[in-house]
Amino acid sequence: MSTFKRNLKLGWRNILKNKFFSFLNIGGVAIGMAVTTLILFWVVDELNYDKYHKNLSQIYQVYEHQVYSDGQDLHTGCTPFPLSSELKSTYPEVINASTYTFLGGQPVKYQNKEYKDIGLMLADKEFTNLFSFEITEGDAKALESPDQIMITQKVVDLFFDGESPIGKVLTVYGSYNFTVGAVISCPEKNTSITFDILASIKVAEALGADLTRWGNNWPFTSLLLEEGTNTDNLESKITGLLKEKGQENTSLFLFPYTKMHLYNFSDKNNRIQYIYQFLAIALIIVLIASINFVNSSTASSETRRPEVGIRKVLGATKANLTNQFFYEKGLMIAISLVLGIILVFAFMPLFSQLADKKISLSLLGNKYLILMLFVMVASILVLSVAYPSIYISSFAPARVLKKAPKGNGSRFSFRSMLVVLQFTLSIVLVICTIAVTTQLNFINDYDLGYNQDNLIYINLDEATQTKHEALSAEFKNITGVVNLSKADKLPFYGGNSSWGYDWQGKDPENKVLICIMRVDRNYFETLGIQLAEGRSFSSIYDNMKTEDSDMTGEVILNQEALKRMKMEEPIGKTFGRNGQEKLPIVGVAKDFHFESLKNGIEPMLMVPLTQDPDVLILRIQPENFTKTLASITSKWEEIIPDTSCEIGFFDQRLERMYNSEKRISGLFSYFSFVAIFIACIGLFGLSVFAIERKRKEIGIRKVNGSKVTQILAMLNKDFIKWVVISFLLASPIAWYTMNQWLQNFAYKTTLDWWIFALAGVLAIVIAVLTVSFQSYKAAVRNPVEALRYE
Amino acid sequence: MIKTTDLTKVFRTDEIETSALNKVNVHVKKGEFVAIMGPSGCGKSTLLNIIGLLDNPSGGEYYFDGKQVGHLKERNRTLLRKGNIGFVFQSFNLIDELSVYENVELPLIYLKLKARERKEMVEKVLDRMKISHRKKHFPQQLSGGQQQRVAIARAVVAHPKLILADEPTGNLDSKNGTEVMNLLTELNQEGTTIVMVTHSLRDSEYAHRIINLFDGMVITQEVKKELREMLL
Repeated sequence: MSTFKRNLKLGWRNILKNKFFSFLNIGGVAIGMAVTTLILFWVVDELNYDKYHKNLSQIYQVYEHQVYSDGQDLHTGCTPFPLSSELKSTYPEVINASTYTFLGGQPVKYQNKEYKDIGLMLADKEFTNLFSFEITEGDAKALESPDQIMITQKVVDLFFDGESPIGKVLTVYGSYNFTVGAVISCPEKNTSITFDILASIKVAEALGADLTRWGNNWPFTSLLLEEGTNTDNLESKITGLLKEKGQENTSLFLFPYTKMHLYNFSDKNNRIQYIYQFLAIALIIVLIASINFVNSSTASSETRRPEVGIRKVLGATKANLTNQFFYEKGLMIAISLVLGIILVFAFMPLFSQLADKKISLSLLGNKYLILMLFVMVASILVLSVAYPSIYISSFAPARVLKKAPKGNGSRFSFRSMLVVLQFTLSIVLVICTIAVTTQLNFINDYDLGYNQDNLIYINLDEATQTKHEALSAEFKNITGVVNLSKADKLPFYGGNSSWGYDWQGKDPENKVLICIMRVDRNYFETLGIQLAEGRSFSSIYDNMKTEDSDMTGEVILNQEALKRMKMEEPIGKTFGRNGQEKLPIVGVAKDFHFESLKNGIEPMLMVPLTQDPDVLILRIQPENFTKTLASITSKWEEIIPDTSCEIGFFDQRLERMYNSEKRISGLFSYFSFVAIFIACIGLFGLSVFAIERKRKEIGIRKVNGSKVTQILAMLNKDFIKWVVISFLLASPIAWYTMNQWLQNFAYKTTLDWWIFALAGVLAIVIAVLTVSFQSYKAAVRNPVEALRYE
Repeated sequence: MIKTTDLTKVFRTDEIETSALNKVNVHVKKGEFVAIMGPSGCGKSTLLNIIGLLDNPSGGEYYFDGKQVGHLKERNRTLLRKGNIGFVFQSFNLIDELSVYENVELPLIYLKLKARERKEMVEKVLDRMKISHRKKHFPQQLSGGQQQRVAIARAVVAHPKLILADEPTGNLDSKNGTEVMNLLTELNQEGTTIVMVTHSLRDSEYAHRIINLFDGMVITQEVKKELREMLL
């Protein structure tokens, strides 16, 4: 029999001999490997974004940094329309440039089919050349004409049921008709750009944009640079361009497209932090599982002492023995690996669901994943196999043959050190999990400054908004509708911001970026926004119509705007744009949050709505809620029979805003749970050994009158000591980590002492429960049984 | 074959220093059968461990086959031990996870012999020890006498020059004990040097010579078998 086969056979016999410990060891490592693999899948999927663009490394996005007074600033990808052609014609290193803008989900109709949420992108003709979107059917030059569009396969499937879509006419946003010129492919996942319909940028003109104006920041600008371009150099050449064009507070910068998914222009709240967090958890889990393996192996090796001795007596060298144990431990890891793979397959669907990702096995071909998996297995091998093998084989032969080996103090404390490390890591995870959950609850319960419950909205398009008067008249008559308001947009969308406002007593140097919303006078009451001062708009604007988009009538500002404008006693003072209009300020709204609480409150300006509204907002009574919704839908269908009514909910909308945080904190808790579970497996295994060592002591103590509770206390004391030390080590680490994470939020909870106390108590309770299972058994044992062995 | 001069061994713990061997001078010729006797704790096993190259002395010199080996490193001791010295213990010290055949084969594996050679040698020695029919069994399935026969088979399979036996009959009844002693005598008659530690006067009668140890020192060692018979 070859050495290989012989050692494997022997390893297998030893695994079977210690079934219980083998099971703990193999199980722990298998779970660790499986969870780590799933985490790595997640990480690689995140790293895999935008890879489909052939020239990815040469693509850069231009972004603006706008600076205002009092440290207010804005990083935005919105740039002037003429920017791309200017850059392309001026700088030879710019091979190609494209202007494009995403208009969000729009209602699209074809014959009697209508879908409300079709992503519409406007782009110039270079868009498909610069990025790698393939034209699968039709005319590649379709974007040159403003009445043609390209559609993705998803839209083809929705509307055309097997027919060729080329030449068919789709109606977008109620009144814009486009002919399908081509079918284009756009990946559904791992992409920063998504769209369903691609139309010419010239359509923006029809929406009121002047494509030659430098003062208006709207579309995105992406550049394809010559290979090897010094981007710092290019950046320094273009950074002042907009200052020359009149935007004196704005600088231009280049952002590599490779960073698009994981970084922000402002370099704050970068998504990459989640990658680091998840990799850290993966590392912790591997470490905890490996430590289990090491501890359990060295602890159980006490029983292997005689064998090692005999082998040495019979001529085995240290290398022979290391080799033998390496096979045995390696075999265990191999079994764990197989089990781990099975677990990965079993939990893949659940994980995909939790992570909201389509995790596919095709990722296995990814070289980073292969590398990371290899590193994982290699580090487990080194950590869990090498050390125990060397440790066991180093027993001295003459000592080994003596009866009971003396407990080796230093080894034991090395093992305790590893347990402390495990528990420290676990407690850090527990504290972080509690802190993350607390923060998310804090956000959920935060007074947003308006009441989102029972508040619904209905978006209107160009065809339906003309019916807004009939709709609102009918809706108001429905018994469950408490209030109704009209606005030019939903408050979630930041919308148009400008710093070109003037007001009475303005310091000419004070530049404030203010976001404008047009709303009717019921707006504040409907949404439950309180006025700190003054009143809402006068009723004379209720039915007023103006042609252009200028400001009319009266002004209401939020508190944040007043603070930034440094205005006191605002009621009656005047406010306007470009020194032109002088409108009286009639009210001050208390600050309210519509954006994610990651962001602070922005200065807001509200003026009366004097055009057709884009959205209706209704407050509904909680009683008979569904019945009221049904009445709203049926009224809509009476008035506009050819378009369906789609109702949105404010509270759901808000929840979606925190979706990413919620998912990630959810995953975080699951992974922490796994880590703690594996650590407990290890503690359990170790307690069996520790108690076995004290078998005789327990017997003697009992013979001399010790009670079961006293024995229990004696046995548990050591373990509690370890947990307490771990807790003391873990607290500052967790505090620092969580403090860093909370920096991402403009509104954050405090890291109260109870978070740490709760984690500490949890850890002790879990540890005591784990250990007590064994120590109780030992404590109630008949003392003669223990002493008989001597 | 074995010669020690002023051999000492001291065990130290944090507080206590225990002298196990004190200037021990022993000389064993090739082909001799020597018994080491003495009360518990007199240093018999310590002496045997040093002779068997399992441990190093704290002082003095030890010549094995004419070579000074008292201060060899563990690695070199292992090399010298392999194939030259066989061990038989009171508690048999078989490996539970290995079958009878595998236990006996073990020294040959560490000698790096080829599988076919090993098979031949193992079969032969198992036959001789009359234990061939149990070669696939594991130690726990055997009686004490059978286990000790396996242990002796393992000790002699590589044809060592020296067999060290530490109370080989201590865990056996008298019938099995006699059988084991007869086996050792047979091996000695074939030319193998044997050094045996024992408490049993009966066993010591098989030896040519008895070394008496007391408190780590040699008291008598040239007591001939015949002389002792006269004294008794």
